[in-house]
Amino acid sequence: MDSIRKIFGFLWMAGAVLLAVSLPYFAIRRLSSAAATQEDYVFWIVIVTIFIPIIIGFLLFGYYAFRGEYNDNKPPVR
Amino acid sequence: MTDENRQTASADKKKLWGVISASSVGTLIEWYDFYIFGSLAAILSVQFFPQDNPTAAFLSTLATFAAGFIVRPFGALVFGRLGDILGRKYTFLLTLILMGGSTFAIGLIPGYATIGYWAPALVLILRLIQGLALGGEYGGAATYVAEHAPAKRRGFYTSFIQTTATLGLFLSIGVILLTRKAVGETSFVDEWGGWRVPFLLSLVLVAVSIFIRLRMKESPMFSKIKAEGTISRNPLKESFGKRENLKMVLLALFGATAGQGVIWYTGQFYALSFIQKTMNIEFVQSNYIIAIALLIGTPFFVLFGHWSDRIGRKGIMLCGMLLAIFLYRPIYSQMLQLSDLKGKTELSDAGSLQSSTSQISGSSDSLTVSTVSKRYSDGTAYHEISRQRFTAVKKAPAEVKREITLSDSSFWMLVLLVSIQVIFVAMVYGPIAAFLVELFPTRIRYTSMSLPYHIGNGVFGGLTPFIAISLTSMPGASPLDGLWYPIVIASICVVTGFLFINKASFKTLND
Repeated sequence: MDSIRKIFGFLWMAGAVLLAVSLPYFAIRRLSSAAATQEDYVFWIVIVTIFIPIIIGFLLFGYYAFRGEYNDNKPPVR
Repeated sequence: MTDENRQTASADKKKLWGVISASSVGTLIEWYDFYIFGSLAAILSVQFFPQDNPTAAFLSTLATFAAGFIVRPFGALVFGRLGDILGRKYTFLLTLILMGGSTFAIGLIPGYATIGYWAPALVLILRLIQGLALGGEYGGAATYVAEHAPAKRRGFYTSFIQTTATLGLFLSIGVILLTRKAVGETSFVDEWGGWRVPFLLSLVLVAVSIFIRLRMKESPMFSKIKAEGTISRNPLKESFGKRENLKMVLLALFGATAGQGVIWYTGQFYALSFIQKTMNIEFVQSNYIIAIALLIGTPFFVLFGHWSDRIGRKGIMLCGMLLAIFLYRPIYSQMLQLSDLKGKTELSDAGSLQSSTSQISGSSDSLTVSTVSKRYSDGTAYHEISRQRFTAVKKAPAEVKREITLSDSSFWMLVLLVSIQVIFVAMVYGPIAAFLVELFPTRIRYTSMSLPYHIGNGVFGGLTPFIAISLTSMPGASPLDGLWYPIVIASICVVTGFLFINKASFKTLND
């Protein structure tokens, strides 16, 4: 189980990096198009602002999982 | 057991139900306050945020997105910190006052037609206060009840707090439909019309709830650590700055609350949006469908909370997510079929077509309004109003409004399909309060559990309608493609929850 956790930790880290790159890319692509409305600007600025810290959290979660922080032999939280 | 022991146990039980009632009623009112804004969004947009005015439209968008996504997690941090320093009771009393006061005040603000930009600006500020208060309320109520409840019945007792979000939505729909029926549709949408009643009513509800809560005592666990002098001096730093606790905050978010948020919003809000906008079901009928389904599903929150005490929280929550992942597409496909008119037999003598053209005053343009009505052999009725403006040189694209009123059998089938989704919600949401409070120690519980809950529910869940609609409007997309968002998020959550949540995490409440 611990080795599966480690693999998923790596996958989540890779996923977080991919999201961190793709989210601003999609935002810029949408906002630079002629069809972008004021609503799009608010929506994408809010989305990028709120999701970047969440993605960092996801990256950190993957890192902790990869390092074995959630493994069975770890003591309970304190 | 002696008579004295029996009396003590009975008094404790009575006290516990008092705690649950006081917490649940207040939380229900907070959800009610938060939802009436969303449920009346179409009217509020006309009264406060006219879409032909760019500044007002901008403020409207900000009110929609900021209150749900930014301010709620921020409220979780602000009030979570207060709750861990000052105590649960006074903090969630404060959030209740803020929520009730701002809701009542929205009901008093004159419309854009009377006070101009002040109207949208004031509504935006009050909406942000609502979001802030909601961010602080839930964690306080869940923590307060959990810290009173016996360890073996924690899932059962906290599940009453879990019913409040659904009942708050039910109450908001009920009050809106009743007021609309009492004052009539035209009077309901006037500047000082009936739509203000649900906002003004909040003052009475909140006053009752404050009265009840003021009589409650502080949570025994918080009182204990206060007496021992072990209260956290900096709950934010301790919650998110210490690796041992931060990793549990992240686990709560990615292993439970994110999936719970998308299931919750899909089963209740996206279902309503899908019924109204994709299936074109008539407004009142669609609200009845959701209201009945919520009422059917509500007891299941308590049932799954109770079961979580016996068989564990993780299994029930993950099972709810798995069922949603595999059954959402078949359920929504079945829902879509109910409004598909192609398979129905039209009654040729029951239809009508009317058309009238009138000159638009002060302009050389004309407006043609066409109304088509059809009836089908199974009792379904179809109504279409098309408005087309003709200028001297060209005709503008027609605005078409379609409405389907379902037959009784289709109505109840749709109630069943939405009820199944509410049961999925009950599976993931019923045990989650107990799950979250058990992850964190008393000294930082309010702060630590509030943030992942409001990011999961507010951000991941709150985005569901917007992302789902974006997915369905992509070129070549089908109406069911919007479901990929909750399916993908819930799948990540199921894998994470299954692999990483283990029983060692459940030992912190009795510290």
